[in-house]
Amino acid sequence: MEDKKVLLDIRNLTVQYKTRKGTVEAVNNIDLCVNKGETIGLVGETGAGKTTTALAIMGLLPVPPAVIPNGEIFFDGEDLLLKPEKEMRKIRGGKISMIYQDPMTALNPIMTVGDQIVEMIVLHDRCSAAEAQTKACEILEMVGIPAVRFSEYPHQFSGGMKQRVVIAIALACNPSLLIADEPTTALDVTVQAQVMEMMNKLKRELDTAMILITHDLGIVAEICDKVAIMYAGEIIEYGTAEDIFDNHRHPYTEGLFGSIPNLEEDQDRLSPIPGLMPDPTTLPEGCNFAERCPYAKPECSRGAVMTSRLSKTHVCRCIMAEKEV
Amino acid sequence: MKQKKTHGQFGEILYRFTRNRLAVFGVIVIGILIVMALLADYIAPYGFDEQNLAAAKTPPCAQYIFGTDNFGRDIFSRIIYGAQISLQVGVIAVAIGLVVGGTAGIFAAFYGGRADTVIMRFMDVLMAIPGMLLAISIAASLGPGLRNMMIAIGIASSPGFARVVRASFLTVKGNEYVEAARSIGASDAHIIFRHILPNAVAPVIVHATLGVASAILSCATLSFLGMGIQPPQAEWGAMLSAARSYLRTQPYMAIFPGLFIMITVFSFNVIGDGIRDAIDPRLKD
Repeated sequence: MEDKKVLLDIRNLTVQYKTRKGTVEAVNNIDLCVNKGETIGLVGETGAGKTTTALAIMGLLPVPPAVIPNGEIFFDGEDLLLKPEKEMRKIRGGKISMIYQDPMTALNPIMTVGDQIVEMIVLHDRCSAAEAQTKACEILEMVGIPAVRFSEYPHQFSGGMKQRVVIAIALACNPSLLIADEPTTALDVTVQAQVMEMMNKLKRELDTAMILITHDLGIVAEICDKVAIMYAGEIIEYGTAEDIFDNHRHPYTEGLFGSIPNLEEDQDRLSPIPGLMPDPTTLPEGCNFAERCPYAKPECSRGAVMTSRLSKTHVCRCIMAEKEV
Repeated sequence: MKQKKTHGQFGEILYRFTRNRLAVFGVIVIGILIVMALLADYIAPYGFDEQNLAAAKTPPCAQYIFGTDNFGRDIFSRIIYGAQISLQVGVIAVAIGLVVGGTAGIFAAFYGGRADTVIMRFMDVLMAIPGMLLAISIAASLGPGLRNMMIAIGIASSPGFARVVRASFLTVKGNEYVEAARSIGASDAHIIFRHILPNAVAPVIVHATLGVASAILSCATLSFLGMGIQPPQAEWGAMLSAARSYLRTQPYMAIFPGLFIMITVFSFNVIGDGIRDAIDPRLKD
């Protein structure tokens, strides 16, 4: 692991949305590091700031209202936040590409799927239209779609097939980082498994690093090397998949695992984490999770919570992390 | 299914368009009208200003198939000559309105924020002035003549186009594939022309084809006020309004120019619908 090169290094990134109702603190001082070829799972409930983080990396945050008051995003040693738009355009799609949540809407309905892959290739590789077409056909085959369907339109494909097309577009230029924003949420379970398996295979073949944004801990366990748990704009626990699954220390992570229904026991009700995420315009002082935390102590709401390093790979933002379980 | 795509996207659209019988009919009708206008000197049995006062107000008969007007001019010939001007005005004025208003609408919708406010408030100012009044004042300041009149009508109709284009653009812009296009590194122009415009064009086409009719009629009004076509030049809208006083006694004087305006608008309309459907592959069966 150590000898692998760092691909993406996010340091102290903060993203805020300035709205009329106040400042939404969407992402607060997160650090995240992705090595070449590695898969990182970004897990958290809706509104935790996962997608905002992804858009910040892509440089696609809607400005205004979004502002980035501090932080750096190093990609291949260069800070993406300082890059001019023109260079970012080369990086988007060429080096970092994104898979969207809903394949139904992520494809242009009036362009054939083949043309949409060709479009991506032509934007980034200098090659003739014919070469781009051949390449697009190869990529289609690679994601398991026969090349004869090149000139069909998105509405002629099923949801799972569309997501394959979206993945084909994303991988067309051999990006070194793939950001998948809940790639399987809109698909049904059997198709989910197929698509995930295919993504995992391709990722390994092409040696692409991946940031996988998801709610689904099952998927994370299956394919992620590292996991970052986000809550209210913070990464509250970060470590290797083993660290998180077998040795999690943060009460929120514990709550997440607790809310997965157990198949072996007879359970009538799910056990969710009580309460709701704090309003991101008025985050509480101290630990953001304190209100819902079963172990909360008075000192939790006093002063910022420091992250504590539990091992070389495992980081947790909780005052009790180091003391006991 | 074919092995690979052999004909470009344009070829495919053309193919879908030709399968729409009504749209093809529209193209044929407009084609005939254009040929008629171009060859007016050869086709028309009389000159557009040739008067035969003895035969004034003759109802349709073998000699004057559409009858004659109050000056004894052959209505059929005047309609043929009028096609030269009416078709031009209908198409070019709408094109001017579409380009001016459409560009404004695209900028307003795509860049949003302050650009949107400035452009659309300016369009609102234009819209607040009644269209005809605006056209009259522009035509008056540019001076009479066919070209100036088309500019006047075009500019007067541009706020409507700006509104339609902007609204349609905003709906499409919110789609995820537009953001996806951004995420593959496409430039603004590429996103506007490849992804948003083709998806946003349907309501604009409908608005534009209906605009052809109102442009022809505006032309009549401006001509009536002496700011457009100068009599005795024939023009459908002007013929229609001149026939107004004889509506009860010689209705055919109004019916024929009206019929031709209607046929033209109908044809443009079905062509527009045909284009709209041909662009959208989901409607293909």
